[in-house]
Amino acid sequence: MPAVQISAVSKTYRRRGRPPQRALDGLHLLVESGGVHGFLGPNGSGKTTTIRVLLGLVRPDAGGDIRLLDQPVPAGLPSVIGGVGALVETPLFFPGFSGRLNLRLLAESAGVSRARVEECLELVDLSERADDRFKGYSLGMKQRLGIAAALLKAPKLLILDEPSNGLDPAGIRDVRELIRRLGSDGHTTVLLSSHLLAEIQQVCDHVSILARGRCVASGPVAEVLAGSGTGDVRVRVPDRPAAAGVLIAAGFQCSPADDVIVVHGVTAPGEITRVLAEHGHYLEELVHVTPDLETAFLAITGDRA
Amino acid sequence: MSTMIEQPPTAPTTVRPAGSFGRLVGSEMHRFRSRRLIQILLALGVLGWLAATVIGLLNFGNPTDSDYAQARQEIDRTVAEQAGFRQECLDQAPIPEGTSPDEFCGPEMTASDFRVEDFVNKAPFDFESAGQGGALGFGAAAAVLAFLIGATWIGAEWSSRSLVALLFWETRRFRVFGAKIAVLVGAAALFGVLMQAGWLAMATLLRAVVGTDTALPDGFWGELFGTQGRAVLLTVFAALAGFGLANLVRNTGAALGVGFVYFAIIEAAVGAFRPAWAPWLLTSNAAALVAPGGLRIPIYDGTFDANGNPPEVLLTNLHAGLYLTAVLAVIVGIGVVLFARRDVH
Repeated sequence: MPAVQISAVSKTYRRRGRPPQRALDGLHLLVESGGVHGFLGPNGSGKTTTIRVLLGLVRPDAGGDIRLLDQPVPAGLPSVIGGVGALVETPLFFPGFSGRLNLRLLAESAGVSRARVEECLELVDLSERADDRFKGYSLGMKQRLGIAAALLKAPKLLILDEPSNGLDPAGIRDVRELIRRLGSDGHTTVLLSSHLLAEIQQVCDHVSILARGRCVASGPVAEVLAGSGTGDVRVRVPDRPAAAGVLIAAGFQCSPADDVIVVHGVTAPGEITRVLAEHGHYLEELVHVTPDLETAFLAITGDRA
Repeated sequence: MSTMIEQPPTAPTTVRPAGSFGRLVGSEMHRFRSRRLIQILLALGVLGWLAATVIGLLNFGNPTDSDYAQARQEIDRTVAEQAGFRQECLDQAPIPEGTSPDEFCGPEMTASDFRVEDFVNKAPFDFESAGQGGALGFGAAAAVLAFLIGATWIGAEWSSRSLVALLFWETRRFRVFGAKIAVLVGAAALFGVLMQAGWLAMATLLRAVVGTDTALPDGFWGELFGTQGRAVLLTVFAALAGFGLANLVRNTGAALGVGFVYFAIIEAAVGAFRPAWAPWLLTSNAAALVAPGGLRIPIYDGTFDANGNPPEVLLTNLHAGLYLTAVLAVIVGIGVVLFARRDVH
């Protein structure tokens, strides 16, 4: 059972005195159960709108189909919302209440025990400051309380929108570790929206990339990276200028880089080995150049310029 | 956050649905009790009661026979003085044709026209005459506080957007508002009852310490409880009005501003320029709801009856209650429907 299924969903914001803005444009998205699914996209690509649509906060345009934990949204949300934890943009708590009271009030509404509240406060290392008022918290503490609230329900689907915002490096590391552990427990699916490409690359098993309200790439992180690869191969040989001349004469596109030769658009790397060996050049290294997620992201979303 | 990674939570094998309405109401009651501004407003209510009680104790007294004798002498002196003025008027002024002497110089006064209690330095507290007025006063004070409580109850939730966080837990927006309104109505009714109980407690204390000991007439308690019951209803209405306004403008301060503009400016302007609209004003209907038998409102539109009086409109308790209910249904209803239908960010 997929955790999230979105088919042909659009959302148009009508704005007074301005042309309508299409935030989602026939979006298709599939998040399988289990693991950590990254949700990437440039600003305004529709990531947060997608999350709001999933949680029933925003009503999509007519048509399309949304299912969350196999229930239609919004009609079936009440039957599954108890299994969905969410942190969307900034944490929203009553500023005059303490962190503990804010969590207790949410927990009481769903019959979650006070012991679980304490457990989650402990989990995000906020127990000692739990009786301080929320408005006195630093940005990082607010974010941690938001994560604690999302975890209160011990959710089957955890939706985190930029969870690292405001956290110090140790906090970021701990959050990533927590997400990894949750994603590997076999029960929890984490949907992680982040603009930090390195975070997605480090933490996620799968990734979906949004651009202009559409999903432009989706799949295991390694596949998405490979799919956006340019076919570049890095070659190291003792006599670099001579080897480059041989390769160019054989029809390869080459460019020098530091102490290696980068050969572009290679479909069969073995051909490089053969050509060089025939001319007495023996390889010290031949490596497929794997693009990082940032390169892939920029290539896929067309924002390379 | 070093402990964060040590104990990740385990998701349940089955998905739990959203909590029951009862749980939501319980949670909202806890939230209501915890709100500091509401606690402050309730504390102000208690302080106001204490201050009013002390003022009552200081301003009422137990006059002696000598004080009463002195008061009667003062009444006799006043009656004589007024008779002298009247005679002077009759002697000096030519009375226009068609006008009686009583109309021109006023009727002749006697000692029975005056209450002896009004002429003693500190009159005793008279529950019979003060009972209705006290209930109305406490009802008005309760209504003002309830309006503020209703406005801050939802206004602060909008300002902090903590209302949105609740939607991650209960996605049925009508339920969310139903719980909030149920808690507010219950709390406002309880507050109204406590305020009226406060009046009875104060009156009992004043009567025991500085009051008359005359027996209360038949039907006194029935009429008083009727007024108090309607005052409690007004308190609930005021709380809902504050809630509805703050929900529409999504901010406590803005709601209070709208309330000020309406009560201080619009109602005054209507009174000055469109007196015929007075029966449709909220304050007219609020007073008519609580006052025994309703309220007669003179309409100063330039017309007069045979006795020279302006025409009057009678707003009954029922009429006022229905009118205020309709107004509240519109204010609260629009806000709730908009909340249920609009996107939430």
